[in-house]
Amino acid sequence: MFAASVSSSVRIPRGVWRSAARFGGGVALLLAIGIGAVFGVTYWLSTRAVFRSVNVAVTEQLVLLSERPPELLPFMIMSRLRHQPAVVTRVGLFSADGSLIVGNIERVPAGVRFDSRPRILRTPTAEGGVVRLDVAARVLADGRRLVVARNVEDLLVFRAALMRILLVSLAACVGLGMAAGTAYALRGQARLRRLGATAEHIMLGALGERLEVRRRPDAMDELCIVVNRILDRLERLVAAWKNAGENVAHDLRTPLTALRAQLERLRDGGRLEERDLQIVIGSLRAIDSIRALTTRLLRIAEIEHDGRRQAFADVDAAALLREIGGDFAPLAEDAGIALRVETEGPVVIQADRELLAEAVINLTENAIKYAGAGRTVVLETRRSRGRAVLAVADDGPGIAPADREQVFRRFYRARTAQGVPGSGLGLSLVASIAGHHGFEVHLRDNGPGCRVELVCKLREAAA
Amino acid sequence: MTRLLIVEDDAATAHELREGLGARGYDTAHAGSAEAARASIAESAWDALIVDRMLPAQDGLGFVRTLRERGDTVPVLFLTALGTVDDRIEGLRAGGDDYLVKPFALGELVARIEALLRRPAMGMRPLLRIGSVELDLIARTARRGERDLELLPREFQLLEYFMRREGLVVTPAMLLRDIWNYNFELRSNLVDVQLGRLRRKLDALGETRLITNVRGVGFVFRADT
Repeated sequence: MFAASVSSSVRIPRGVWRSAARFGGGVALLLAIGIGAVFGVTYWLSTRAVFRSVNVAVTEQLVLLSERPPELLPFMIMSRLRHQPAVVTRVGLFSADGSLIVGNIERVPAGVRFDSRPRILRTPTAEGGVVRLDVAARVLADGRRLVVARNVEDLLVFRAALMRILLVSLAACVGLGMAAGTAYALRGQARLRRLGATAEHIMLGALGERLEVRRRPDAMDELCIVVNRILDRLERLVAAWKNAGENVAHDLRTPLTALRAQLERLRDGGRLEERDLQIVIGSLRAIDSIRALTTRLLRIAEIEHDGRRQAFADVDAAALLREIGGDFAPLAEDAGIALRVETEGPVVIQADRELLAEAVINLTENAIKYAGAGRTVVLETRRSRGRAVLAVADDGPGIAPADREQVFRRFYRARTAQGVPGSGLGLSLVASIAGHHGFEVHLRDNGPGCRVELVCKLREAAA
Repeated sequence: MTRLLIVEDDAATAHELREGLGARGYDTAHAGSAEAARASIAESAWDALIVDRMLPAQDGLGFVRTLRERGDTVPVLFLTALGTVDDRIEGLRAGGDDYLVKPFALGELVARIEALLRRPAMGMRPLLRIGSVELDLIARTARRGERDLELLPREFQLLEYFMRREGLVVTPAMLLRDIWNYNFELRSNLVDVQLGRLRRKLDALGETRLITNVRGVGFVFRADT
């Protein structure tokens, strides 16, 4: 029942099922062995005791009667049968040729042995049925045969019933053990999976989230409590660090604002000679590039450290690339580059649209900047084995294999980029945006040229 | 004369802003803290506030939030040192109308303030006509005089944006934000190239140039008749 409710709320992978079932099977087996042992011993002890007492009673009667004086025996048998029918159910005294002298056994039961030992025999009844008797017999000194028997049909029926009960309850226990064990294992694994998912969220920047702790904590919960306490601490530290960062940015940039305004006043005052004016204009440009650079760094830091996942939504990457391609085609054309967009049908992924656009624009700007006139830049989306691939490719000089690992690092500039203005932050911004989304980034040889791929999960596949 | 209150704790910056804005014909005053700003607001009316996000004691966000809670709708432009996405969103949530990342060009500041003071005419009429240019907002067609303009959707969007802000300086950052929804800086001159295309279609040989450059700041659309 529990397992059913779990399986309806979360889809459980086959592997999880298998290991949970294995655990459940183990539990059931152990339970079966335990219960089987207890029941077996109970069965064996109780039935043995009952049958032993029957045997003892039958033997006792046989011995008792055979020790009586032979001439009194018929009389004793008759009086015993009359007065104590409960003690010895049946007695028969037969002559040497097997004819009944006295008693309530019609004839000597087939297969009886005259060794005084009780054994169970199936004997036909007068009504045509079969009854099982515990029979002991002996040959008396005068050649007559004495047979003592007790009907054990009721005891045997009872023993069979006991056996049935035992088997049924054993089967029930095995079944329940199997189900309970599987459910328990599934619950444990479901909990582990939930904890894992939360931990992954936290790792991706959702520092406000906490691991679940149940009302009655077990060892695992104690561990979670400790981790949560560490997270509290971490969150406070990150907040303090962010605050400090804001203060630093404020303290650095506010004087730059005043400086920039002063320089503008100089530029617009009309009292500068041409040479000085150029210096002032150059300084203004320098301030602006410092601002662009620090803004970019702050953005990378923000993307990497903050859980801006609330902006995630379904985005059609194909439409986004077509839009960006349309916007940048004139720009590429001015640089003597043909910009093509190759998409087929919507490619829906989970993303922060603005950040994704920023990454693709960065790659597109890079491609246009480094490919060179006469080349082609292609923006492309396709589906590949349940995944979405967004690619920006060019047939320009490309990136040397030795540089490929490095170009995603901050401020690193490839050798082929020497002499072209740039900060070396473009690809590291792309990398941090990809990391924020959990996308893979591949830098490939486009033979010739460079091809950057963002590989991510298709939305349809996840739904 | 337009009256601007600058709420900024750095005296040198405030001084330079006052100088620059004064030279461009604005009447400005300076408040060094949220408290001083509240006193200035109680004393007289202001056309717009320029508020530093980081102020001693109560910060800019809190100051503007309480201002809005009191029902004051004066346009507010935040000055911020961070320029991150969260920073911008927080500023807008607190009731700011626009924000500018330090350090900025005075021209950009003036353009933003003018845009705040003269909200664009967002009429519901299907036809937008300024001078010889006519936009059919439903059919998405454009004409200049007798000439049909073959505009791409983006170019149409740009032209509509400029026409609704006739006579106002529009900066590339404003266009990126409002036309492309990009709140980040580009390394390429996307705006210049796109505007270049639009202008080539808009102005035939011998016609008045409708969208002109404002040196070092941006562009402005002016009616031709």
